[in-house]
Amino acid sequence: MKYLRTVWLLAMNAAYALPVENTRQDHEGVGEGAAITQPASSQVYSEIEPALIDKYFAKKPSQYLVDPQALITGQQRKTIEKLLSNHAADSTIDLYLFVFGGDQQLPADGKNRDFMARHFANGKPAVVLYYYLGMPAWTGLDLSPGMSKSVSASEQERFLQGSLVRAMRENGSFEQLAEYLMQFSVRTYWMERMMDEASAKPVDQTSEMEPPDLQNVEKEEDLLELIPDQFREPALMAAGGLGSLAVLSALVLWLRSRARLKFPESEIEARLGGPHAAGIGAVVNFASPDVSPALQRKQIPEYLRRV
Amino acid sequence: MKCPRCVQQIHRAAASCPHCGFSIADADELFGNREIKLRRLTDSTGIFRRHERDFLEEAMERISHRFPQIFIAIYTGSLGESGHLRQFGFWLLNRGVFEDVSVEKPNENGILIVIDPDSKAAGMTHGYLLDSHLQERDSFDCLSRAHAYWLEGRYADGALRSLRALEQLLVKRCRQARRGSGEYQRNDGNPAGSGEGVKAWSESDMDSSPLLRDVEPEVKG
Repeated sequence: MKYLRTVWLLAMNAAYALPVENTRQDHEGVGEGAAITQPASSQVYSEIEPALIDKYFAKKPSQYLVDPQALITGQQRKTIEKLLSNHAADSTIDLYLFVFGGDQQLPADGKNRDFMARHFANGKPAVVLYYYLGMPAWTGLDLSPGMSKSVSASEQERFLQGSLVRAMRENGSFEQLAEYLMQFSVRTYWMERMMDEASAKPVDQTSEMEPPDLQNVEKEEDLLELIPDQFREPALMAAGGLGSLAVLSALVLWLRSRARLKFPESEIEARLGGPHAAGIGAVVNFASPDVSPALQRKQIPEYLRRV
Repeated sequence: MKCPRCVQQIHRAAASCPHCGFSIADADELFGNREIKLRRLTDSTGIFRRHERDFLEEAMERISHRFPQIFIAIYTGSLGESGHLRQFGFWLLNRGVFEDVSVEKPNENGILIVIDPDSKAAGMTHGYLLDSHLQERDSFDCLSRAHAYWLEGRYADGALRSLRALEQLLVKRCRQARRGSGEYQRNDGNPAGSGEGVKAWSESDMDSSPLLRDVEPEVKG
């Protein structure tokens, strides 16, 4: 019994927790900076036929969803297409999704080495995701040549892992795909920032400065992760509201400090024959440090003060 | 309201002090009965350095900018044995013609700070506009801020502190007045301080007051 339990635990680890670390292997046939995952060689998978390979990689995809095998159909397909097109509208980085079957694998020479350089060298920066249905842990990615200089391989790996963690919380293969896409879409924002920062920095400093930025990104993500799911949206709304309130308050204070102020004018009778003023105001004596202002608060005639 | 000479309470419309009989005529006898031409910052005793004068003028201008009705004036002079600081402030704000102040700001809109480094005393007087808004203790509190500096002879620093306190106080009082302007309205008398004749020039004014003869260089500068 004890033996069976140990075996079962090992099997569970292999199926859920460890695959991310153990089954991922960098494919030799991808471009620079790529992080593509292939099924473990110990398992039996069918290689994708060359004719099908051409449908994936022969030309630059005209749509964001590349699924020549029609693995995703109907409403689910529309959902994914909409998600990808929405992302493209919001982001400066296009996101292409290549979908494969969960029991398929790319042959070693399935993809030309210069696939990204050939099709994505010019134009908008792009990320290509290779997603195996039902196996989000095997997902790989390629970046367009311009991006791979700004986003290092370790960062790419981190983005994949972050998306995978969230996708694994879903049960169905389609739900996992949708969640994975959404998470990855969010993370492309950080890629945009890295690209902006890299373009703003001198070339020789770029590689040195990237790790701290990544740390910051991770910290910010971790903070968000600390909040339970159900409170995350209200918390973000509250934070946004507080931020807006702070900005508004600062604006009001600034405007108030610059405002011109006018006293209400009233009719006052002249006194003591003075056409403009008749008040005594106040007098302070500073002849001696022993006589503090507190002792002079009661105003007295000057002849008394001199006495 | 209090009399500048005997510091006794007087009626709002008193033509002269019911206690000591003081009026502007008495001040005229003491200091001269002609209008005096001077600048907002008149340093007759030379206690301010050039850069200190710049700071002071900037602070005074800032207040004038923020309160378009109001101007601030600082006069330093030696009142000698007479030592009638209150009476002098009262007289100067009524008889002074501040040549670098817009004619749109009559003297009743002014706040005058007089510093006498010889008798070691300073006073603050204001015009009728602020009568309803500034109390005796307000003026005193503003001047008190300068006390520690003036003790050490740092006149400009003290004056700057005083002006800063005055600006804050004016902001506070102005907002209070606007919130409850009804409380400040007075409709019990004739309009006063209409500025009649105040801006008229008199070239020989300076000679009329022995106390202000030393103002001449400042006026020309």
